[in-house]
Amino acid sequence: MDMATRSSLIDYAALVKPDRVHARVYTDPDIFEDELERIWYREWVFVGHESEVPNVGDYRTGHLGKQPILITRGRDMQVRVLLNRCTHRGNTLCQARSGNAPTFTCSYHGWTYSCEGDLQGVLFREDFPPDFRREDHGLYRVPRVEMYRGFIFASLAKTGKSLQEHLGPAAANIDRFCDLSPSGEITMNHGVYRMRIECNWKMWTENSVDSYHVYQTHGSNVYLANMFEAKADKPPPPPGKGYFGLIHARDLGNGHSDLDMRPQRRVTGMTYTGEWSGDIPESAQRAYLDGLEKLHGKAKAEQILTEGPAHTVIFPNLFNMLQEIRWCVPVSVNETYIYYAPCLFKGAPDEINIARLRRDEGAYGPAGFQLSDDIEVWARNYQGLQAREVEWILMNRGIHQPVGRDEDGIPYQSDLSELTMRSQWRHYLELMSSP
Amino acid sequence: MAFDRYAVEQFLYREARLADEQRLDDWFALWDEDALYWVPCNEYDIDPTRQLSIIYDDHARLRLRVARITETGMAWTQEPRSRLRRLVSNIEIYDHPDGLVQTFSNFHLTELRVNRRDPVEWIGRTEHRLRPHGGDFKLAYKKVMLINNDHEMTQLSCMV
Repeated sequence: MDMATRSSLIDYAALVKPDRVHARVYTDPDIFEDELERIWYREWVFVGHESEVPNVGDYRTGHLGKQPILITRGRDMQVRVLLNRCTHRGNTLCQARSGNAPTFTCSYHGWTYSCEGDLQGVLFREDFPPDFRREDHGLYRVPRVEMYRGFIFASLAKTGKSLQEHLGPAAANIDRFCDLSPSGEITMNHGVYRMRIECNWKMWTENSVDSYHVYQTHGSNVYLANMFEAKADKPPPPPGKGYFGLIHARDLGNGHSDLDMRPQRRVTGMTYTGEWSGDIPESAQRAYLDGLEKLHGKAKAEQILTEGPAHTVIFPNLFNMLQEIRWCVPVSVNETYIYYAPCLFKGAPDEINIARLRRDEGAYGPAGFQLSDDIEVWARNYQGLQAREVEWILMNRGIHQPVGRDEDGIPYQSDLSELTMRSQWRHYLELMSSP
Repeated sequence: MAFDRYAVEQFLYREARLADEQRLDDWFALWDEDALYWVPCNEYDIDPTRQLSIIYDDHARLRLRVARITETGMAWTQEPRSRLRRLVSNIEIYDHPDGLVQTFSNFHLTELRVNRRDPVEWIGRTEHRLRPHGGDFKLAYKKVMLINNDHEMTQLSCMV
């Protein structure tokens, strides 16, 4: 059955309601295949960061949806996204995670390609028909590749809206992440957590902007903080929900959303440097601040530190928060790969970058105090959906409450609303129902 | 040789058993105050000041890692606890500077979770550094080189 036929058989509007979604959207293999066509092989998808391939000949392998890709830096310094598939008989060319190579040679029959994807060498070429031209058999180049602040996005659609249009106001959130670096640049080549989660990819995307789960899923951390880290000189948080509820859950359009901490930070007085522990020596702190002020001026530097990094999901697969770039790759309807990479500040004192690594390790790896519980809870989420007599997943928290507009005109509710997830589903419905 | 091979092996087996049986307070008591519990990420030998680790715990963070499981009741990865059993073998023992005993060994740990049909296998090579202490040892350093540290893995909440 071709994709158009399959898609026309699924009534997405009956499965995705304003306040709930049907469990089938997470469990139906036909819907998963449909999503590959309509989202993963059409829309802008995050694939990597420029700093992973800084030099000519650098490459990194990965996946765009389920398709194997090679991200390369050519001799012209261009970053390309190529399909990691020999044009002869279809083998994957490159097996390593990353490296540097001027050429890629297929292990099957020896066809050899340049790092720009051009076919350079064909063994016993004289036996191919006379009209065989090497130029016709280069590696498939993903037609649209654009970068924003080094974040590489790829789209298999030959035409469509630009990356800038796609990102919209979410671009400013990427700015906030990068502007915290005293050089204005971050690097994402310091290792990556590779993890496999036993759930549908959309559960990950939703959870990334779900403030509500923090209390319970990450309850152990709240408990530990109370047990070991209570500081006598700190005023107790407000009763009830504490500082939760002050954050804005915002709908950034195109399926993107964020948890905007700035309103909360205005109340708590927390700043980016204020989150540092005493482990960072004065001299390093001073050098960091000097760099930031030199680059941005004093006022802007202060604003950057006050606002801190954003917490943003860029649909369908990028999640940028604190010191990390995270992305997901769909494997099958019930399995997803997630990649969490710490980003360091280019040009910052070592102590500050080391603190970023240690913070990541504490919370966000497979053994991290937060992410390990997420991984378990996602699996339980998926297991529960086998109880198909109960058909719906609720998405209605806060839906009865008014939606405000912040100073940038962006719709928001309190972070304990599920507005962020509803904005993902609204966009999903558009993509899946469009012709 | 400055070490008693039997005593060193007994320590390694005891450490493994306490971790397997999730007697985590007793397991934690084996560690010295300057301890480092290190599970590198992506490769076996990395510079932890520039590269990410899966675990890079000093004594204070290790205390939190244990307390999260033993005291909060909300570490869902271990509620209920996994059932664990490991084999430790191929033990090589060396003198190490500062009066420490250095060992290398292999392990194969099988983890069963109540809500999964299939077990999780954790396999790797471990470097221990032991500090002689009152006729026994304290664990000063443990580096675990998982063979799957560059593969898409599930969560790691038991002590490898």
